[in-house]
Amino acid sequence: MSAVWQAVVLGRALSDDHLTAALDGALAPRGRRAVEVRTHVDRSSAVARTVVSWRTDGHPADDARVATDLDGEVLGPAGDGPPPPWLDGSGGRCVRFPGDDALSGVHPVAEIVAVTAIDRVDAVGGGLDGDSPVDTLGGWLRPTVVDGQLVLLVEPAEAGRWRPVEIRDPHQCCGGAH
Amino acid sequence: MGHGHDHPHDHDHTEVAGSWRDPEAGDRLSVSRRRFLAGAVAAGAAAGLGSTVAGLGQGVAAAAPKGRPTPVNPWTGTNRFLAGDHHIHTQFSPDAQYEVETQVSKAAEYGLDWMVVTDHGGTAHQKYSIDQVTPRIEASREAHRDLLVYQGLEWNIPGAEHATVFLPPGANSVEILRAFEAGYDGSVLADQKKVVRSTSGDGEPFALEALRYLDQQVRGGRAEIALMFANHPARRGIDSPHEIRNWRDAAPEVAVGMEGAPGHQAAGIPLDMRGPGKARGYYDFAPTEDSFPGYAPSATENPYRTYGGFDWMTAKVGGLWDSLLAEGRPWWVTSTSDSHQVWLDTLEPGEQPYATTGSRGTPIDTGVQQTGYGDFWPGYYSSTLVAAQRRTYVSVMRGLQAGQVIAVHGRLIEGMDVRVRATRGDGDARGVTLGGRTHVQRGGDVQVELTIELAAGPNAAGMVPKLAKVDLISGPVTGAAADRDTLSAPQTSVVETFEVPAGARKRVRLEHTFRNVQQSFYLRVRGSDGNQLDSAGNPLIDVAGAEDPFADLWFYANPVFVDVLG
Repeated sequence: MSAVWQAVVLGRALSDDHLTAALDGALAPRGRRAVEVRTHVDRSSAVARTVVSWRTDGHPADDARVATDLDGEVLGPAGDGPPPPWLDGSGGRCVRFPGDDALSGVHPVAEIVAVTAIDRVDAVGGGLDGDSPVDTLGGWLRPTVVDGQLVLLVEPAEAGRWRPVEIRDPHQCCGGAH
Repeated sequence: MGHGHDHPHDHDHTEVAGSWRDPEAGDRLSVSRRRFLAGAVAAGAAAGLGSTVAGLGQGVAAAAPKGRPTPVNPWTGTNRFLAGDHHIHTQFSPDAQYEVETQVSKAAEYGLDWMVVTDHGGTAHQKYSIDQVTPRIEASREAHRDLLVYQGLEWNIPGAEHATVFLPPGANSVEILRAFEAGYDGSVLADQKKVVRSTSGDGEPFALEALRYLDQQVRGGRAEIALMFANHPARRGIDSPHEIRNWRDAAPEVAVGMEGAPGHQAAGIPLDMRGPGKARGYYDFAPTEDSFPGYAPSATENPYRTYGGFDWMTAKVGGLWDSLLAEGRPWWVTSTSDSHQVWLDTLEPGEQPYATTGSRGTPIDTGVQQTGYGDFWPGYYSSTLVAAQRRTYVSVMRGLQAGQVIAVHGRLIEGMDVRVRATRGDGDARGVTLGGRTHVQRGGDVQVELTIELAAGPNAAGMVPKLAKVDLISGPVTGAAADRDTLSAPQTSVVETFEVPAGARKRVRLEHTFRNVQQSFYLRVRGSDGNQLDSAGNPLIDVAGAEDPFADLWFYANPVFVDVLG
């Protein structure tokens, strides 16, 4: 596995599904697949931008070409020097991570931590233990990077369960046009 | 500090009580004349000839004799509350469906006195919808003489969430709304490539320009009054604290508040109660690129959820709303339906193409109750109670502007008389009411008297709600926040919780005295049915698919400011 992270700034808003599909489409002809994909928000200018980072299962691909396919702008390979804070520090959001396809139903916290790269499950309001059942809502999980750890934040759900704070399909008013 | 407040608001006296007609609103000459007359009254008050100027509302009292401030919103004990809703959609929104007349009829059926039609702003709405909705609103006004029906807009605030914008009927009102939407709607600006996205940060200057535009319409005499309330402010975390402060400060007589409670209150009804099983208020978002990072969900709280049906900004004691009030500036909260598609209604949207016609067309009756709809009819659950001097368009808006407002769910209360006055030491012995500003000499006592009108009958769910607890909340006024993104007021707390006797009938009277007052402060009141509280008496976070809204009722009243002199 390549330890080198690559990153591009997205030139347009992409849903996670579109993002991973576009990334896979851009990398496949180069014989690569992104094994980890993260996003973070760059708020350094008035208009916030989403940056996507990934690492592949081989040598890094030509990121300029990938960026073109993603309709993005190259932020550059992140392999040299210290890792950017959204990867090792805080602020990153994990779209694809090891073990993310292992779960799809209701699983206890301990199992989530055991079979995925998620290091910790936190609950809004607390009250969680290893046996607490988490409805993964079809296995769509978006842990975030907190002090270098992958943390899944959940909240109370119906029937004594918990569910991720970030869900795949929040209510879109106006079909999401606004 | 000062807001350039150059005229008082007590100039509704030419209107005919009981009529929806407000013939002089929007008439340039009459507005000017009334402003002149009102100015004369204010001058008389300042000269010590009387103190009858009411409803100043902006929380900054003018200088008066002996260096005393003039109390704002003086208590009269005669206020009458009018129930309303400033956030209602029709078939002229791309995601809604009802005829204007249907929404107006339902509002009347469920006891509202005033309502605002607020279809979504956008290119198609601006081009096609306004001319269709205007005559329908006029027809409904004719058909429902007891109901004030305002024409408004649900504005896509550039760089932020949605907001209600509305004016009273007047010669220029529709044209002002049309020009406003064309020039300043975030969706329109995005279509024109003037901003990257409707919600991207490059829109922030447009939002301020927009509010100044409305303010100028009033100052220039083209409209009597114009108001803006930020809608569902914490839903997507994109109304940053500095944006809210900037809106307020850009046009303090226009941008006056926010939804304390969003609409879509049926969305959390469980699936096994034939509900949508979603998040209450459709508050089910997580941070996105345009979200303010300070609103991050954590193990402590989730700003993106409702708490007891109310937006986190309002529901959290010492939270964002309190951080605004602790500056000593007005910012009011309301409660609305955001009615698009009503739970268990059988209609679905018409088949007309919205983008090219600005309308969904006539709704279609499926004959099947739609369990997936998450809204209530106007007045069914959410009410914004406004103390208005008269049942007129301008008077209700003056009440809203002045903060004489209580946000109520499920008919938990009918109204509340609030009197805050100096009872020991030199000060304002008459006192003020909701949204007001009073004063006392340092070291004096300030008494709060609450007379709460309990539910006089069943709510729309057929139950008579029981008020169980009332909290008096207070915090010091510490001046303008150095950091415009401040979102907490750590010194604000619940100072007394009143238990309402189970057998209470008609009304309850509650009292609290702040003794030996040393620092300017504000106070506000909330109450609940006591069903869903944490150990500190605060509302619980709402759980998706597990919220019967009628089993978790709250009201939130707007604040009173107390200045300490000497």
